[in-house]
Amino acid sequence: MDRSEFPFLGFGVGLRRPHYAHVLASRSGRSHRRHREHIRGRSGSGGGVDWFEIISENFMVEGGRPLEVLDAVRDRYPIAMHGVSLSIGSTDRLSRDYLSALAKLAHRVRPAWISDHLCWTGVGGRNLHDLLPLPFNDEAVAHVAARIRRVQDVIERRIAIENVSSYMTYRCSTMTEWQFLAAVAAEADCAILLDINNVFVSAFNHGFSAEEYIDSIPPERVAQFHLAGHSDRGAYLLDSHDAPICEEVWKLYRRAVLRFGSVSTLIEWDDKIPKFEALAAAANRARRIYEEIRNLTQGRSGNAADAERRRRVA
Amino acid sequence: MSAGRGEVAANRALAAVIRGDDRMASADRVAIYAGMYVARLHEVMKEDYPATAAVLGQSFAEIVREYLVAYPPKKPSVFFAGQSFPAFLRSHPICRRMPYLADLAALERAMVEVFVAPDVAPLDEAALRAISAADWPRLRMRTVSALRLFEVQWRVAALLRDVQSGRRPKKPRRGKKFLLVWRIGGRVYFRETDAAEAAALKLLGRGATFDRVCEKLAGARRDAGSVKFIMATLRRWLREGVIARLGPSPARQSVSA
Ligand SMILES: [Fe+2]
Repeated sequence: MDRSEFPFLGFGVGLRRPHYAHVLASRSGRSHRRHREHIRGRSGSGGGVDWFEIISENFMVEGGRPLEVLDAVRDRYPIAMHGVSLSIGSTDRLSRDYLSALAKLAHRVRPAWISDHLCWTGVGGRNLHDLLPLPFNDEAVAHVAARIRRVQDVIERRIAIENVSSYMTYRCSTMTEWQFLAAVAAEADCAILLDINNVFVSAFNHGFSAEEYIDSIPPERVAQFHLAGHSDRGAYLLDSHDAPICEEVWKLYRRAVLRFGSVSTLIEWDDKIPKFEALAAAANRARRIYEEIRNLTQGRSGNAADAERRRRVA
Repeated sequence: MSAGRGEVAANRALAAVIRGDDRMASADRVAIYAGMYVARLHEVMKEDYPATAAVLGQSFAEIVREYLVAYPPKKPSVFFAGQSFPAFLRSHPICRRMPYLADLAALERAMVEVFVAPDVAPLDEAALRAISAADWPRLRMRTVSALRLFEVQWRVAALLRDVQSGRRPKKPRRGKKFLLVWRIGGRVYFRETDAAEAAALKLLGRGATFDRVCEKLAGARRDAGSVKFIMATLRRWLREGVIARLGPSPARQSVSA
């Protein structure tokens, strides 16, 4: 897969309602041209963020303030569309209505890319509004990959699928989660949105190695990172997106940047949402880690993914 | 009791599919998802129905749980999850004690819906003045898309205003009224109206000609006062931004009774 379909946008945050006014009023809003210079030149970052990710379903509406805000943000920043209801793993038929709503929104937003989750969100016509895990076996790989291909055919572009946090596994699983993720991405020929916090949460909940997970994902497939906070519920970790990113996840992020190189990074925060500055600060911490590693690896062969890309360009 | 035995059987069925370990049994792992399902939708419902939740207090959570069993979400967006709550409340036993609850929920649902309804530019007085007098009787107008009009049996508008301004909500008075809910830009407004204005607005919403709308407004009155009333009503609609010019394509029916 050629990662150029998923350009490096820098460091962004999820666009959430409490920040609408701030984002629109902020002077850090920059034109696309200036934005590109900023990414390329990497000239001392301001307090701002480089890009935004939206929850697609929140904007599948006919009018009103959400779309007005969306258009205004889009005028100033690149946007990626991130869905939560594609239900790519379900055994229900893919919803034509949903896919056409997705295509319609994409036509309006012209997103940098479109992503959703490697999960199922409902069955029998019901929507659980949750990201439920899949069994990890060959049958599931074939099932999900075929459906991703169909989605990519309908919306005429490659999508990225995200690993979810999970709290249960199935007896019929025959492979690890990372083997499953890599196999689906290869067979569907799609990209991977690697959520570092989800790797950490699931590693704890199921007792596997987060490092081994990261080290096993094919670099050429990784199009985006997610970083988020979780909460400790004693027997398990909950992917609550209501807290700062923990130090162990930052450590994993460093490992991921070393392995995967220049990958657009996004901070997610969905509950007990703090002031925008707190999210921008997290985005800038990610930026500093990235820059530090880039400086370290510059002049040397660097990471595998960037080296591969340099080879292609040359 | 059989419920206990049923639970044992269910747990055994879950254990056959879901892996458990010494840290958490398979049923405990599934219970995390079950708990999150209810908690997440409870949050959504509280956001969509803040006044209904305030009036119900402690019992809101349990009623939402019953609602989710009766009307499980089926659409991709949580926007639709609470869609049938007013209808559910209408036949719920709680309405024997709080008969106004379904009307209140209907008002709150209408507000949620107009918030994201299509944008249609309302008519203003200048645009209306530009239309020649001869064209007036045959003029077709419509209501803006972000508008809902419906009948209620209780004066719940006052109750909602109480909750919105942090006052202790009083039990509303009984009284047949119509409620008009609409949006201008990003703001949602609501007010009560009577049968005559509601009927005129409904006609307007169906794209009726101006003379028929006037007829409806005048009602049985055929005196000089009726002209004054029609003009005052029309001016109010313009000020409030509830009417629009009928475009070249047939207008979508935006008024629900
Ligand atoms: Fe994520």
